[in-house]
Amino acid sequence: MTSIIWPLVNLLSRYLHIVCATLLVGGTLFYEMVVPIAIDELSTAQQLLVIARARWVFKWIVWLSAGTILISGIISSRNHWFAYTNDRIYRTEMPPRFQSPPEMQVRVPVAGRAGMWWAAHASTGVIAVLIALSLTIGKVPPAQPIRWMRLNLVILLLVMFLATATRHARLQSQERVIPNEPPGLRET
Amino acid sequence: MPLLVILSRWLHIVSACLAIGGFFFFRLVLPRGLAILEPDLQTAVLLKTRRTFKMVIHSCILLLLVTGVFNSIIGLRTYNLNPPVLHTLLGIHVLLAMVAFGVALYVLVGPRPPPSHRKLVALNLVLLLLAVAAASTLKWASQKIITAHLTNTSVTDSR
Repeated sequence: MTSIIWPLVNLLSRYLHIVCATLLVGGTLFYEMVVPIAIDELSTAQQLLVIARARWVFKWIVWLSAGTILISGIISSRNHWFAYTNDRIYRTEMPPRFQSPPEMQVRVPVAGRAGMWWAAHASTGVIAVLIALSLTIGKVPPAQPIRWMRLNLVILLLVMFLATATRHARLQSQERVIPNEPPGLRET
Repeated sequence: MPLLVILSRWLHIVSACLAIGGFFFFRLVLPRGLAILEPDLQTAVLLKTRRTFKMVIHSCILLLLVTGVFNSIIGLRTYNLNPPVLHTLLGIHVLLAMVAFGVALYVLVGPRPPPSHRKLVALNLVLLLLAVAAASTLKWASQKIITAHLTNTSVTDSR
């Protein structure tokens, strides 16, 4: 039963992580770039009302997305933890008897280590989520909300770049082929 | 080359985010924000939003097509490891995306939206989410197949 449930959980968490990121990034861009242009001909009072009501609806999306992103991120990280914490063994998810002996392993350069990229992605991701949450807390938005949203959009784009780089480094580390002849198997 | 691969994938994801998040905001968040305005004013603001959003969506579609073709070429070696599964998922992803692009272009063409634009935007949102699900499953399945392939290769090598 676990063999069916766990892959499904992984798949679902991966999907939810992407969907919630799309809602956060796309919603932030729309809120920060499209809406102000559309309402610039309204009176200041009307503009504030529209922004406040949109913010109230968007708040729930931000909170739900933030929670889902954090939980699904933890699940995905757990799934790939071996690749993130190991800078010597190339073939992830491989039974230990198929892994190369220590003398045949080569340390991966810093830029190629999936763990480094993962740490950068996770830390900047948490910062972006915290900024998004702080912008929606309370009844009144903070001072200069558009400037903060613009900053958060840049950080979110950086977070996505780091996620892409993490995945690339993880796949590269998996695809690297090294001479592999464990002594135990040679005899059999 | 690795930078180009990462950049292309990043642009693909960012464009998808802007399209999906934008349609979500356009269909579900903005109408509620505008509900306090008079109907005429609501329509005027929605039309102006639509004009700006159109430029975003057109750029996103172009980027998705260009980066999508590039990513497919790069990933073809992996997809050929198990064509029945991976090519099917890739095909579903591409098909859903193409239909979604068609609907998006139809909804945003001309100075005024078509009469059924609310339903079409909702449909488009569902299509885009399904396309993401297909892409996500494709990546998950290809990861599993790569791992299985490498394990098999390792066993064969060691024998």
